[in-house]
Amino acid sequence: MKRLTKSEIIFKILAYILIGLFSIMALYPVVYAFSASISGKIPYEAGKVVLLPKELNFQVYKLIYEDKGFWISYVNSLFYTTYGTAWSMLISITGAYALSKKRLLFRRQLNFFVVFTMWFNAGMVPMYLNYVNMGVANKWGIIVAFGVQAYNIILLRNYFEGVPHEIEEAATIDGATEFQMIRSIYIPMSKAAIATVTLFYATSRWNGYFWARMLLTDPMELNMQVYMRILVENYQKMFDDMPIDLPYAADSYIFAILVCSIIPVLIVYPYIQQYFAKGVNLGGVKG
Amino acid sequence: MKILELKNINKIYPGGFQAVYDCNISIENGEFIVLVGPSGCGKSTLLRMIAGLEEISSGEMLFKGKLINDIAPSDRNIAMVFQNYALYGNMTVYENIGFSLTVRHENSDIIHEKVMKTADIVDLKDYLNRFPKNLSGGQRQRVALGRSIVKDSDILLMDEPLSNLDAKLRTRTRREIVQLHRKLNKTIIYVTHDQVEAMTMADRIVVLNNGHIQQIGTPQELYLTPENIFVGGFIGSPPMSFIEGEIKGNRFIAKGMDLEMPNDRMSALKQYDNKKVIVGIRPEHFYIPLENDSNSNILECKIDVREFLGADTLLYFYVGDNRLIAKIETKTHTIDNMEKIKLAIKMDEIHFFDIETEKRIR
Repeated sequence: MKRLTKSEIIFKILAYILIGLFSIMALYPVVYAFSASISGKIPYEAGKVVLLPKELNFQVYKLIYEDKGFWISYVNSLFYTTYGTAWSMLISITGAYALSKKRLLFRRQLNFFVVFTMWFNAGMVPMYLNYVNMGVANKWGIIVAFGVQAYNIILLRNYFEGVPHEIEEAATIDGATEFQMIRSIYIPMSKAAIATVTLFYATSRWNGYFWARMLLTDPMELNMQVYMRILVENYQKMFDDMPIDLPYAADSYIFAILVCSIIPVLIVYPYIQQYFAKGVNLGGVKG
Repeated sequence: MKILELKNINKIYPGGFQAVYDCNISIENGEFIVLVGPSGCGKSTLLRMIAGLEEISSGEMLFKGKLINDIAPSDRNIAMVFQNYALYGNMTVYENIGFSLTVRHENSDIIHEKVMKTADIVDLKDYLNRFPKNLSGGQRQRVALGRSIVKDSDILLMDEPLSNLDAKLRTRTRREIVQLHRKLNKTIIYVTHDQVEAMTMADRIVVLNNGHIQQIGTPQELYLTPENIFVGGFIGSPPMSFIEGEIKGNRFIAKGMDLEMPNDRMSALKQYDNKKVIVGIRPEHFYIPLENDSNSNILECKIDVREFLGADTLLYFYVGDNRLIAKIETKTHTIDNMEKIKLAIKMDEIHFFDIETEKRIR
């Protein structure tokens, strides 16, 4: 085994310490939210819940189970995320494929326009007015109008550019159309990038709050983030108005919804993660 | 029957660089044509123009008499094997071979039948469920071959298909391609920079240099009667040695060399009397003379480097400023480095080239 030099050992120790710190920083809020959601009112309000739950109480989860508004917003969020991500991926993949081709007319200019949107946008008020005037200030606006992010297109474009051009030429000679090429070659060969971008879109849509709050006015169309915000704004007051002394804190209910909101991500992530592995195209061309 | 005709084909890239100049080739059905030349000579460009992957700047390309300049690659009835295999890494061997049929929405039974038949031809039946990454270089190249065969196209194009294989595998695959050609009787247009591949595989060879066709002919024609200095030097391994000198009557005189020319060459060389020419001698046209050899064209030379090849030995030596190579049979002579020996030249076999045009003097 190779012996490490002193500086390598120091570097490794520092790296592990930093990774450990970042992991704790990322994990702690999740653990805390879960602990707070199942802790009793007295220890929570006394600030005794630091890491582990105190005086276990699962009543908030029963309450959530019976909360119709929560389930409506939950299903809405799933709807926006599923269809929104599918729509975003459709545009991103076809757009990135076109932009990756040197034969695309005005390729440089088109690439510039896409990148330009990463630096500048029209601003919040004009964007809002634009959505309203286009008649998409509703659930379809959330899905269709927020179709793509330039960063994701660039990411996919760069990955597509990495597919050896001989493979495209071989497919051309084999008689594949552009769509067959995207479907049978580019998408399967870019699984890692596509999984990453899908995850980016899905999490941004699942966590989408601002524009959902701005555009969604019908209570039946609210997504979970907006529903949670409304709860945060109103729940303490509702809680205080309640005659009986409940065994859990008002915040526990919010934390419980927060925990519920991460569940889909926790379920989906391992399935997507398997595609992050590189080397899908190993052996296709001699490097 | 002519299957493919190239008439005055030129390729000029945007920016003005001309890769192919006025190329004229006529290819018969079932022929094995090899385009050979050094890197950057335009051979791959020419092949890609035949495939339809590069646009033709000017000239006509006729397939069975029909103009195909603007026909898409998929409609040209060609198949191509790429230098780096260009296999679909996400597909199994079966899917790779059957891809061209799948995209044309062929019936799955027909696809299966054709893929199995092809896998049998290229000896890949046991590997159909494997992915390219799990195959050796030779097997991958066979998949690429299979993919081109399954289409049953009229012309197979091969762009340096063996260059990524090791020497032993290259020799074996070379043989397999020749056998395949015999079996399928398809027209093959094959690009290589390796003249040994060209000589061993081709029915006819097209030698290219700097975008110009230097000579088209059978391997024997190219070897025995090279059109110019380039072909003489490119075809044959080890290469032909060249010596610049002057014709004086019936003698060729160069620094350290005074050769008497055979009478049958004199008529062609008469116009070059007192003029400079270049003589080309192949290594095997030197021999170690016997004691009483009647040949008067004998050089006395000191061996600079000796390379033992087994049956033959290569001798590198200087005559004047020219470095020459001789090949002699090992079993008859053992020669050491720096040894002084006599070497005779088979004057009937040597070539004379015009110093200005570089063409062979006939």
